[in-house]
Amino acid sequence: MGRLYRVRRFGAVAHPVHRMTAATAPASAFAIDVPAALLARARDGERAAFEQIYRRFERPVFTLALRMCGDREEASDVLQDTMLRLFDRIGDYRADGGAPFWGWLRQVAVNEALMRLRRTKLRGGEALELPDDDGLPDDLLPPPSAAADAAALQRALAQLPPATRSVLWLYHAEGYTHEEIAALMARTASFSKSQLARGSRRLRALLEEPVHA
Amino acid sequence: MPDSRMPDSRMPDPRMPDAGDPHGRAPRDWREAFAALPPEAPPADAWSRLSARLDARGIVATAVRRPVRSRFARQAGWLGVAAAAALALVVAWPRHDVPATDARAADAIAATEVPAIDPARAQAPASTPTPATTPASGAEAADAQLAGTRVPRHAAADAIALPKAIDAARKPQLAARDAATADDASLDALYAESARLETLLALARDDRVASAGAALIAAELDAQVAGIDVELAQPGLDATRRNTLWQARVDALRQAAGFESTQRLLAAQGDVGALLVSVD
Repeated sequence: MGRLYRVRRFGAVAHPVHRMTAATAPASAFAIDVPAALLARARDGERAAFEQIYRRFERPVFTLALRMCGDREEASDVLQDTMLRLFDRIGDYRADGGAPFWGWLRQVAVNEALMRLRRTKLRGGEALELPDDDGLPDDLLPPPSAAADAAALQRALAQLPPATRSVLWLYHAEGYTHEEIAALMARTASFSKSQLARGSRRLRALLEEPVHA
Repeated sequence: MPDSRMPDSRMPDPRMPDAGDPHGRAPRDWREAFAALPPEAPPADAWSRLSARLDARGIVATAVRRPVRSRFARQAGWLGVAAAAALALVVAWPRHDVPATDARAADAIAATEVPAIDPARAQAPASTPTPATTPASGAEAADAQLAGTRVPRHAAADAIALPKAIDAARKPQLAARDAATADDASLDALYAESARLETLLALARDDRVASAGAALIAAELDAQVAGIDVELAQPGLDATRRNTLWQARVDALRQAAGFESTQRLLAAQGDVGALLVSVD
């Protein structure tokens, strides 16, 4: 019998996406097209049409969920729940109003991720947000150069409390307003603003920390 | 004591736009920094899991068998041999409702338009060996059922080779048909085949133990599929490119499923390789 080694299967080969830079990153998920014929087939309950829609949006949904939840397993559950809800409610989506499909689906994904965060809080998990006790002014400076390092930025984001991280991501990456974030989180716009300011400062501090070998 | 009139070359000058960032790569704001983060890939079995949940909820009528291995099946050696052999047969069996290459696009059109007789089978390229007579076998029927697709209505007639003259006469008419419809039909077949192979792969794969070489090959095949998925997620893909990528995905999945089923067969026969690894 041979010796036993522990390896991680997906660590053997670098995934192509890790080599992407801002210049080569894919365009917004808003650009992903969902033809009317495909939507009609999905509404009729055709499995292949569902899978096509799933394949188009699995990565944007998973990425959004991962940025908010900070955990791959939870993000995977959010992806599942989001897609199930999508399949339940795909008849509700109306493209004729000009609303992009991703805008509709993203709202479902954000709600699912936030519901999961609330459940975590109810179970007595980690603190969801940074405490409102420092009274420091807003952080208006540009990000430090270390923010260009995707791995470093992801590590720093992972150290933020989930609600704070979600506010940062929804505001900066997804373009939500403070009022929209407040409505999604059932909080006030002031909460969103304060978490954004505190989260930005904390993120900067984490990125500027010297790296210890 | 340093000269206070001279700037300290070690310290960034805050008046300069690229202060502290000699390579000029610092993002201008948090939005830009976040936008540069790479997209993340969900677990490879995410669709299989979702598909199983859809089945359980009865959302869609066309059920795909749930890819869950029972404990008994894992432990019973004889059953493993039988399952691996069946999987190997299913994977190795040529799928004639799926275009193997772009060059067979016209054949795919014909397959869509003339369901009674599949010209693709009559004109199979040398790279896809086709038996001289291919009756509708139980394996193919079970295969179609597993994939959640219907069995071709006239599968038995597939054994009849279409005379080349008739085939040649039909092709111009078929080529004049709506190309978009043909692309959709071709893609549908690829989607169905892709789902079928993912289900087979989930059945065949045993992540608990593998030889070092097998783990590496499996990881490379996974990475190949993941790379294709990245390309498929790009917006604005034209129909030809999308078709090519889906075909490549099906080919990669077929390789992976064949490889895994062979591994299970070898393992059931006691050939576990020289070096074992326990995979996280």
